[in-house]
Amino acid sequence: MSFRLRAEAGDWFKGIETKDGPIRTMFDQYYLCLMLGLATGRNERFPGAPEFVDYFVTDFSAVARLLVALLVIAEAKRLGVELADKGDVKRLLDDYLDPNHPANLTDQGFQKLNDYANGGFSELVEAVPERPRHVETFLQIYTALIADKMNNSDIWARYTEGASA
Amino acid sequence: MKIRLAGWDSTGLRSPDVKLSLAEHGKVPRLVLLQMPNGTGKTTTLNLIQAAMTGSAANWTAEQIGDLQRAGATNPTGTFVLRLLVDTSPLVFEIHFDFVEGAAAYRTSSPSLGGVVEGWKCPPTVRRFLTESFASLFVFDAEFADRLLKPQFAEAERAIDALCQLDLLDRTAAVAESDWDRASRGQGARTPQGLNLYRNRRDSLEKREKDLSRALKGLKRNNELLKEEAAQHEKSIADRIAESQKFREQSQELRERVSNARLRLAAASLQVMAYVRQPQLLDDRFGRALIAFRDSLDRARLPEASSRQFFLELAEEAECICGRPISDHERGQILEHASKYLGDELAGVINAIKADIGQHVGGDVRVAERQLYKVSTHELGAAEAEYHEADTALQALTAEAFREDEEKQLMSIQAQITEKRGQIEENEDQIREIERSARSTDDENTLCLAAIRKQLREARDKIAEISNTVRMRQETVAIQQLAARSKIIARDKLREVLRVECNERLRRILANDPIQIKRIGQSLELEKQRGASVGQTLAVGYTFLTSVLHRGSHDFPLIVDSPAGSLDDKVRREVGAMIPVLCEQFTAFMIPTERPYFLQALESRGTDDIRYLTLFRKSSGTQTLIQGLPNHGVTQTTNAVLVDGRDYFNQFELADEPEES
Repeated sequence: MSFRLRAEAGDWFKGIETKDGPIRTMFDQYYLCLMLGLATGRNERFPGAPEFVDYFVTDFSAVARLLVALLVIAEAKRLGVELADKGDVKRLLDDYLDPNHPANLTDQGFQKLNDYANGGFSELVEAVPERPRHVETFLQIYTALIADKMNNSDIWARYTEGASA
Repeated sequence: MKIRLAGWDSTGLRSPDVKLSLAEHGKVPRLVLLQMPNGTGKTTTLNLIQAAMTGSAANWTAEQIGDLQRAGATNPTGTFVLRLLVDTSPLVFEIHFDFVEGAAAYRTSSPSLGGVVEGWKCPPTVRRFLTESFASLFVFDAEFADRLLKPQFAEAERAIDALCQLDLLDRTAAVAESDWDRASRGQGARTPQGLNLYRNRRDSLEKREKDLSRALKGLKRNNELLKEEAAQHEKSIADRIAESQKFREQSQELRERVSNARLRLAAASLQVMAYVRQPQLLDDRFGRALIAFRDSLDRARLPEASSRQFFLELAEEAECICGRPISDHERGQILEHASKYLGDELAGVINAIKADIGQHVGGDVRVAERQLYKVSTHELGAAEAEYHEADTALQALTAEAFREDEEKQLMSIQAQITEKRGQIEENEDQIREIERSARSTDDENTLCLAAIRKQLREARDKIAEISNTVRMRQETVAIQQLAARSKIIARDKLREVLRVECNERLRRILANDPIQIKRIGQSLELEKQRGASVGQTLAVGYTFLTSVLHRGSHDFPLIVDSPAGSLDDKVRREVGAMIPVLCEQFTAFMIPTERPYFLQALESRGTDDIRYLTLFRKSSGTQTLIQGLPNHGVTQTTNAVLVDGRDYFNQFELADEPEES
């Protein structure tokens, strides 16, 4: 199993992806879509999405396990699993974590992460229908979009500072 | 190597129960004459001797095995034991017949096997001779010699093939074929045509790779030129604007501001993205969620102190760590509940997640970095604003200069710049497409160079694989042709050698009635005559067989059913005189009526090395014989009488047995 993102994402990002620029790899595109998907909880299966790598590339190797943990948190919310429930949490960890894989993900884990990335891309094109031409403008739009979605999110609202968990 | 028949035992079978030992002090007689009336089981005994030698009874049907049971008998089993001497070493094959199950089981005993072993296990030194095809050359009936002269049976060719193991060449060819088949299975194309298809694909991909590489270079070079031209045009505009005193200073200042703002903007973008790549900084709630997740794992005591492996290993022990014995019940419980615990390796990953959260997200580190992230986003905003402002001002200045350019040269140059920028963008789109990573949906028409190279690598790998297969096929065919040719050559040479040898022996044996072999093909073709008399046929047959069997340094026994058969007096004399010369051990299963002339001829070279045995069943028809048995040399079983001795052999007279065997 691998990380997959639909081909349209490549077309959408092509105006702002450059070798030496801020958005320089396919994984950058994937990550930006993924975080938006996790922020909104939107996950969409996209069969036939082309695969690119099956490991976290260098830019993301340090935060790989954080992303896996965020997947577990989002899924716990989606499935109605209380993180205090030891048995349910263990089942989730068993479902998504593979200690023998370089990415520490099972096939199910890869699949779910890909679903969030595809859902996040849908969110992105809905928010920014015209493909962006300037990366600096895009980044500002993106960071604001993330903040907005997190503000309105069931999954993450409880983690707002001052809110009760 | 010498193989000798040392005797056999038969119990519970349709042939009479008998224990027959031929060997005395490790020696077996040169001639063994076993006289049995018709119906005593000669054919059955011969078949059993062959089956014991070759292991063939293991493949007999239940019906064949059932036929071995004596008519009317109720014994569920029967046994046949064959004793051979291989040089001086005993080799014993025992067949146990189960008439109820319809099965036959073997046991073999030999010093080289370490004693008695289950199954038909032939020692390696003698295995090649104890095959069905080979054994039929020295365990046969007299009609076999007749078949040697008949082309439709191809017995002569079979005998040569069996002796010289020419079937090994056939097996070599078959092994080569199955090896190739195994190696090439699942590889798709296995022929030169299939190889060509892939070669064509490779050539096409190589061309495409070259074309794309060339196109990429061209596009990049073109873009460099275009950028340079556009830059020159822009400089030209700037210079023209700067020529005007009105615009000079402002223009230069604005260009510098734009350039600096662009650099600042690029740096700010890179910095922001570096922070965005860290989810705990992207939004603070991600960070808090991760901390909460870690805390919930701690509260749930995950991972547990004990892992699944601990319980799985505990279940294998006899005692628990507390000292109590672990019975099957406790073991089952432990294994059932072990699955509820996490495995060692998964526990490690969870601990690593918790450590990463602590390292990247916890406490003051997070607060400081979050602050830096906010600053960088502000910086990005400010840099962009500054850039836009400077760029807008520059564009306004440029527009004013354009308006004042009465010759419209600036506008013309700007149009060229716009056109070039458009072309640059198009080229960059294509460059991006050529340089992007490969996708699984890319086919051979893609513009993506990485995808073409991947397909090219796969095509080359496939060609290497098929080439290997095709080459292997060619080698396989070469081996098969070599084996076939070798077989023909070997067979031809052997035939000629045997022909010469047989003819030399025939000249000695049949000096008064000369006959020569003209050619050995599938059968023996005689010189100057199509067929032969019965005597000549037997002479030729026996000569050929013994020549074949005695090639090399090996000796085999001849075991023949009815050697004299329906021969007349003269022929009996000829055949009888010939046999002691031809072989080292001759065992004849004969009926009393074969004795006249044949026995005398056999005895013409002395009687010392001849064993005379008479075997008949106990029945109502043989009661008088039982009453007239000699005082010595008699062995009786429940259903048979075996008499050892020349005198009894010569006087024994009995018509056919009442019971047909």
